[in-house]
Amino acid sequence: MKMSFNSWMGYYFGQLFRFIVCFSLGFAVVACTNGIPSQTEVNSSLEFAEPPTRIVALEWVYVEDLLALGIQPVGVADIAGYNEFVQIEPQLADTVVDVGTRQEPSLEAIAQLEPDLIIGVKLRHEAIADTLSAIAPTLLFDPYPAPETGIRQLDEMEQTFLKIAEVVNAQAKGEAVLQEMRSKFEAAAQQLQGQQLAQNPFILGQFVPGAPQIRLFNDNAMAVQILQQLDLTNAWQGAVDQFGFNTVWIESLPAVQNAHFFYITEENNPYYQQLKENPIWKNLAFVKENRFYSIGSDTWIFGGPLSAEVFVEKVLQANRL
Amino acid sequence: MFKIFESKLSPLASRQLTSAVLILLGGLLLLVMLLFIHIIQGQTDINIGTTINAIVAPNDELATHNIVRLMRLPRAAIAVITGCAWGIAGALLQTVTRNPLASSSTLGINAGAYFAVAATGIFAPDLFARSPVLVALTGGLLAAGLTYAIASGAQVSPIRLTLSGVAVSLALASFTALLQVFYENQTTGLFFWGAGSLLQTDWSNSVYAFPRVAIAAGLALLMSHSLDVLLLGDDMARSLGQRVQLTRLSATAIAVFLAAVAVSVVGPIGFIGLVAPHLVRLMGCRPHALLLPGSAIWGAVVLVAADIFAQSVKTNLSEIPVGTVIPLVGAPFLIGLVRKTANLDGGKGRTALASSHRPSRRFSYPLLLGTAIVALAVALVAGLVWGGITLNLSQILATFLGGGTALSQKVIFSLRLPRLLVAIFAGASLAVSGLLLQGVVRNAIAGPEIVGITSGAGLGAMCVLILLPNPPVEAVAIAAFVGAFVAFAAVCLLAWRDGLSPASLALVGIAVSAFCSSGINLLVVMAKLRVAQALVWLSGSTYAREWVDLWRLIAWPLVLLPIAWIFSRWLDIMALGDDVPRLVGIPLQKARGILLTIAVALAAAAVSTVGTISFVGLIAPHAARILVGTNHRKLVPFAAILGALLVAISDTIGRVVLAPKEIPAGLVVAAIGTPYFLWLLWQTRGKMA
Repeated sequence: MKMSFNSWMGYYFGQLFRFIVCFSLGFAVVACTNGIPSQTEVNSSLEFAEPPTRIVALEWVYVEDLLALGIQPVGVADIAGYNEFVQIEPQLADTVVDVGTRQEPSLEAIAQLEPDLIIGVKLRHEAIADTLSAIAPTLLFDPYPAPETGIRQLDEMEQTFLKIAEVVNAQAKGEAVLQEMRSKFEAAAQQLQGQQLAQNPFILGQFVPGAPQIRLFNDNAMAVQILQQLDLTNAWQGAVDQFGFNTVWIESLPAVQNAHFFYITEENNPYYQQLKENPIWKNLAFVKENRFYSIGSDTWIFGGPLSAEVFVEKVLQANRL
Repeated sequence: MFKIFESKLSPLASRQLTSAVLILLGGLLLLVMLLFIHIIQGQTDINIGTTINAIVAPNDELATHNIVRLMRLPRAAIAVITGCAWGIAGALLQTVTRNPLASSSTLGINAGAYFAVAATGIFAPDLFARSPVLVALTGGLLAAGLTYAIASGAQVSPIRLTLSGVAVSLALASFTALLQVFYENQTTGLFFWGAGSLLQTDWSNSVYAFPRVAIAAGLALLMSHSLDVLLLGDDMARSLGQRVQLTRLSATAIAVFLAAVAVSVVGPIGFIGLVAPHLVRLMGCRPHALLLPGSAIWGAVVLVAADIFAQSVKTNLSEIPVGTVIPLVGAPFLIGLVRKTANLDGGKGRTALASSHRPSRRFSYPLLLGTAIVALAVALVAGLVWGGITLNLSQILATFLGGGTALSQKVIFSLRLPRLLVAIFAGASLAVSGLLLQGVVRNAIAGPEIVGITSGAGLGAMCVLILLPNPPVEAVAIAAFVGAFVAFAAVCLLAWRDGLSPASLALVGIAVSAFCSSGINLLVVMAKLRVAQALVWLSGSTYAREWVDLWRLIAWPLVLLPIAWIFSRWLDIMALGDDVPRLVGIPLQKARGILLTIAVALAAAAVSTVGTISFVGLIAPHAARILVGTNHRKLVPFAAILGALLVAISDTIGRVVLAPKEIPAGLVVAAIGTPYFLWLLWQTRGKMA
């Protein structure tokens, strides 16, 4: 009868909800999606007589893409979260309207904005695609192509960015932004040449809020692919995963302790705090030799070209320390 | 079942010696073996030689040694400590209540402790930091007190105590879930812990829990003799010079303390306190001098074994908390226990459902029905007026007459109206489903969630969502249907013993629900982020429901509600007991079968459309009974309207309160329903079961 709390109604109200909130928290940090492997874009055949100007973006990467193209969206999902996690210039204008959570945006708030384009992400918004389309033409993208497709997350990011640039009639600007990103990568690669950072492989991790877990990114992850552009080598080879990470805890770290450890965490994560006292952690080679670098909690490694530049800049900063 | 409690106070016979050896030495041996497996298990392979070296000749410089000594050993230790604590607590509670189904969560103790911890974690973090156990203890005691108060009557039967404990847990768990929604940031750290994970990062929890559990266990052991005497009955115990109340009180206090310590270090983990003492008794051991240490050892065995299983389920996303897998073992165990237990109700299985509510005589039925219909209409209009944006009445009227702006057209016709109508029909279906179930089971707190329908539907839907890469909505709905029927059929089959006794139906239903819920949680974790949309659905939501959802749902209530109304007359007669229907020529089992089928179909239709909205099937029928009495022909329409009203209002509130953020209707129903539910239980105390 002990299931009464923990499992039975615990499921309905407690545990299930913990799962839900846990997962949505996970989403706050990992803008994950999943979808039909063969395509990264849904209803790409949209035709616009006039380039859309009133755009609602339901996922942060597309908010960022629009800003990079010089367009302020009219509505954005979870603006507080965007401002917390995504640090790019230009910033969102104060006039942009919050339309609720990314997972369940307020359809009424979106309708009220009378947008002429809605951009969403497949996993979250496919279920409501029809309703969104009834409000305005809707583009859904899938930033996490299945490994079998051979489409890398970094390529998908660039393609989607260009697609959005095309839709809003800003191709030239889009090409320029991508060109700048690539030259930033090249400059960074040159800067790191011969440096200690380039001689050892790296691992990239993200502490999961509220749980003793680290997501270690593998070669499928966009962030890892960006660092590979800097001629750095990823030491973490976990199981192949569509989203590009494997969830581990410090037991898995000794195996890769000779790498440089870049990590993203909220400073007040209690499990991260506890590590400082933990002898396993203190004894890891990258801790003893001071080769672990916090690159902040506001490094958005699931973003667009500008976030990619911010991410590279953080890595360069870590190298200078 | 009570037979097993009748211990003879004779000296240990040779048979008892054998069982003592089996229980203590066998259990210890098994525990050591399991611990060995447990310790060599983990994310990295550490071989046995290194593991032994790490224990006997630790080298601080070696990562492998540190992992063994600072992660794996503390995890094993905390499993043993809390397993012992829950095992002893369960044994004590079973003796004190003379209830074979008692354990720290049967009495709401785990739920109370967890709620107290969550609440103080948010509102008084300093207090929580000062003494987590004190906080958990207070919560546990209050919850246990509430359970007793609700169950109290002339004679506390196992079923009544169990069901009121379940009810209290239900209410507290929904409070906890609400806290987690509204104070997301302050409670994030609680989630992993709250799911019952044993993962440790140092020895601090063990150092904290060990002395407390050891002392409490020692005190319990000192009471062995008094506890033995207690089982002979109060009168006998008194004549043997026992201070019965004192023994009861102190044993209960020790049990609650043990459970509170365990909950405060690893979160609420179920079933151990139920399983361990029964395992020991099954091996032929009765006296508490053996039962208590035996329950401790076997509690540890169960928890360590479950944790081994939990760790061995590989997943890329997350570790699976042991609390999630325990019901996979515990639920079948409970079902077995229920099947073996004769006379669970402590009587004829007669519930006082029919007489528990006197109808309100002040109002005539047509007046009440009319008022309810008007209220529903008002709720519908209110739902059209308020939301992310506010439309006034003239705008709405204009829109309905074909005018209005493009925006008001969109908001009303493609957003608000379909979801409100879905809410109304789902609410009505759930309410009538609950009404029929309560009538057949003759239990005041039966509902679609109690007899396994809701979680069965959830498990069915989850299987499809995970097995098929991109399932069509129809497949998910069909799977939910199949899941509901399979789960309920399993409940009926497993509870069947010369017919369906209401008590065993409810208990087996709870066990099957737990089993399905575990399965859902396992699938959620193993399937990774793919199930995000499923999670939203499972939380019970009317979000973004469209006309297609309404068309998919509406046929069921439109067909089944009138049928339910026609057959509902049987319930009036069935309420009078098992004999009366036979006398008037109603084939009892067949009637039950028909009514239950209708109930399951209604609930499955609702669940497959709006997910797992609980409480509607519990509350609406009760409120209806209070207002219109016991005539089911009157109750069916009235309960349907109340259910519709409840979900429609919840949908509107969920859209308005935190706009543009939406709260799932299921949670709003819980917020409205929980206080009502507790009040209701209080009102029916002494009449239930």
